[in-house]
Amino acid sequence: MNQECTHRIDVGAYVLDALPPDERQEFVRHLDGCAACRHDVGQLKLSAATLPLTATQLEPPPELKDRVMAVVRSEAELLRATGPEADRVTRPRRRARLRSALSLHPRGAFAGGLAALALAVFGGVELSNNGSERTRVIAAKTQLASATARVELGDHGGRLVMAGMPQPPAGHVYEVWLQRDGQLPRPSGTFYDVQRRGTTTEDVHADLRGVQRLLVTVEPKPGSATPTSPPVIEAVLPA
Amino acid sequence: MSLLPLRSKAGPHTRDLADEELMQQIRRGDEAAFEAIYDRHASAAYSLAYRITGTSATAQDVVQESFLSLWRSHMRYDHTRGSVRTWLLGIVHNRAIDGLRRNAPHDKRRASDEGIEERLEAPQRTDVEVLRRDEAREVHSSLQTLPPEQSRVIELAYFGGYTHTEIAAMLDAPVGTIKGRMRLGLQKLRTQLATTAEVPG
Repeated sequence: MNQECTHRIDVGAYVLDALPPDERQEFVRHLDGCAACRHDVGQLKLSAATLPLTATQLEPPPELKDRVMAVVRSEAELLRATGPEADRVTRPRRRARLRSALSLHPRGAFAGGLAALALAVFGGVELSNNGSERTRVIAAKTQLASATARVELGDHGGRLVMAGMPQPPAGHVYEVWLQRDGQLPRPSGTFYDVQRRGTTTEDVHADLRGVQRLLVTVEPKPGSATPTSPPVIEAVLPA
Repeated sequence: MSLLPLRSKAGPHTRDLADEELMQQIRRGDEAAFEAIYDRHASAAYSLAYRITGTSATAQDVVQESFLSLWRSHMRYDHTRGSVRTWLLGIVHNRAIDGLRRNAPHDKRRASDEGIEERLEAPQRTDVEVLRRDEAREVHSSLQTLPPEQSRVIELAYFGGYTHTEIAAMLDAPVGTIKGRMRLGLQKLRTQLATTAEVPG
């Protein structure tokens, strides 16, 4: 170890991520030119790597695995459904294609795995009638084979009925968007979570006149002003 | 519509693969490989997150986010920079500390220093199963062989997310002293590692 270097004292704090941001930046710059400190960092990182084991070792609750695996299986299913060329390495190109196809203009980067949802191709949307005079039922497309969704249109707004939807990732919600002709999707003010697999019903209290498409995306809590990820549900509403 | 099976186990072949091989399969969207990685490392991840955040709900959120980002290749694993386990626990650590800093404004944390010290004692819990005690005991005891002033600053930094200046104020000691204790303590741990078992990482 280098006795001369004045930064040597910082190595432990750096490895523990205990340097304030400005000091950390300075130390990182210093590391570039100081082999002795780089060596010390390498050594002390080995010590730091043992620190997790000093925590009392606990068994995580089984429900945690259920939740994680439910999300992973949904997304794996989606990847498989998109065929052999569904390789996430080529994601950027696919993202661009989806964005133009859906006329969405997310302001930020797509959240990583959610971009995988972009691989789905939306097919034709079928329009049906449930027999009621007041309510029209529109089948919505979801890209999860495990999920189904429909929109029930009434005189005073709509209702989104879904089954088999996975929970959104931690810290995220589903957000409902309304898109009018030639416009970007606007927030409907409806956000929801999925507590368990099964049927979920969300009332959309919004003026649906002139709305062409109803979209659902996964957004960071508490929701976004413009979509930041591709839709997981899309319904084309009748004119 | 049928619910997805939530409990199916990865096949024996998958179970035999090394972590690094499983990571390659995960990048191709193989959920059985992911499940094998989860089963191997979820306990360590949860234990670390619980120690840092102090609540099961937050710890579960942290573990879920960390594993999903592994699954989604948000964070690229680079085998030249250490084992999968060390890498994953690094993600868990960062997210748990981020959550701690986000949820605890500075003044609130300062006011509850006592509580944090208490939490850092990691009391044995009776309502959860304690795993791999033998594995942990050796490392734990090595941390305990450090002079208390060294193990304390390391724990406050690593599990509490405090900077050296915050710790200095908390313990009413000069920052140089705190940084020195961190370095000396970690150096001593390194020496102990060299004389005991294999080195992780």
